[in-house]
Amino acid sequence: MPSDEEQLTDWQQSAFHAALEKLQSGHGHPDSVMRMGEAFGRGLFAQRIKEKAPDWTMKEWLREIEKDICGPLGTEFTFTKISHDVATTFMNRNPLAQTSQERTAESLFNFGVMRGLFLSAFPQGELVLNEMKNKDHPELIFKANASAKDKLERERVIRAFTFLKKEDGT
Amino acid sequence: MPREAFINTTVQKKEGFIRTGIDKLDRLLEGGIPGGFTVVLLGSPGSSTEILVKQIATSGGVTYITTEETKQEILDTIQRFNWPIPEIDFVDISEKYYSNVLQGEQKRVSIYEQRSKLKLKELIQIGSTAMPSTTTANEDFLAILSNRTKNVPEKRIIIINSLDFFLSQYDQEDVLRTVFAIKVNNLKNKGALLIVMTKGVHGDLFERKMEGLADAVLELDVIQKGSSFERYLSVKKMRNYAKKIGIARYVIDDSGFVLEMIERIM
Repeated sequence: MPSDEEQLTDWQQSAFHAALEKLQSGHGHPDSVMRMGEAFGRGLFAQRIKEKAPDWTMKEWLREIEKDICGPLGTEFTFTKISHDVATTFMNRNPLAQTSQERTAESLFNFGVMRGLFLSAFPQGELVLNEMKNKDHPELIFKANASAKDKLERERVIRAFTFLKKEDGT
Repeated sequence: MPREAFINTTVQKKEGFIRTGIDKLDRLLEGGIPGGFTVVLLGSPGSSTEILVKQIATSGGVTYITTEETKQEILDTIQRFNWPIPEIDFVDISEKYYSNVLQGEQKRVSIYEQRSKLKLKELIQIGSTAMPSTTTANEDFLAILSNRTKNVPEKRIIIINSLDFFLSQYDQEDVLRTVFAIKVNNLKNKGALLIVMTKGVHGDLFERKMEGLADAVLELDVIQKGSSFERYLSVKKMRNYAKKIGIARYVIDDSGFVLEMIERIM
């Protein structure tokens, strides 16, 4: 009987595999990789988070996500700021990145997973990527109340990664 | 486990059943999909579910809700396989989605242009993010799905390809509620509702809920055997027709989806 961690890792691998397949199929678009990540993130949230408080704070959400999802998945974060509606973090460790050769697709998928997890709890929020300080290690900013500009971030990230995809040939 | 090879005979049209247009699949289903049935088509990556549903779409009398490819891309594939192109009522959510994405992108570009042309004082007046003061709401694709399946004529095939799109944007419970409403409508219309979903992405619990809601579950799998891949279609569930549960090997060739051998489980 596989452990909880193994089951979760297998599920993630299976979802990423499906995302890659969609990308490589005839009319594949990088957007489909993000979408599969989002669907997987929403699925994780629905299946793993048993009780969702109607007025969660950012801290409460992070505590649940770290305990029930990130921990078992082996994903590690360093938070540089946590307020009641904004959290800023760096991803330190991501097992999917270590096993995948498709770096760009993996980054896009991973952004989608975090976005799906976050929007499941904060539908008015948005996940923003800040590459200004360090391009190789961008900051992830979770905003519980997104501005109209933040709402365009998803498309910007897809565009940025599509450009990268063309550059590194993945 | 009884095995049966396919015989090259055409399946007789059966009252109350809706033909898929793929003769051997109709034979596996012993006449087609029972009218009013909701069928979940669970596909593993690489199993060519896309080709199967497009081929079914050419059987005529089909409403095709597409989220992954545009109408034109689907028609291109149909032409490539030389399948007939009957009347297909397309609901092109993919086109709508990508035009929304493009609008968002244009908005971003126009903000950049505003920033580069305007003076600092003017920018401050507009607001630090330089966004237009009014924004239009995004389209509710789940509502479009619900509305467009409500007024479908009787005994029609509705293909939703795929549920993955809605599950990336809405909570699983919201999607389930919408699917249930469409199922009830389809039952009333005595049509066939085909819902495509990628296997292994949305979690076991959700897959089980979908399997519970469906009247029939078809699963497409790819198994690696040495250096080659074998594809199998399993009829995992068929409400009130336990005899139809079985498995069949298939290949994709120039003519499309070809079933080779049925193995009955019951």
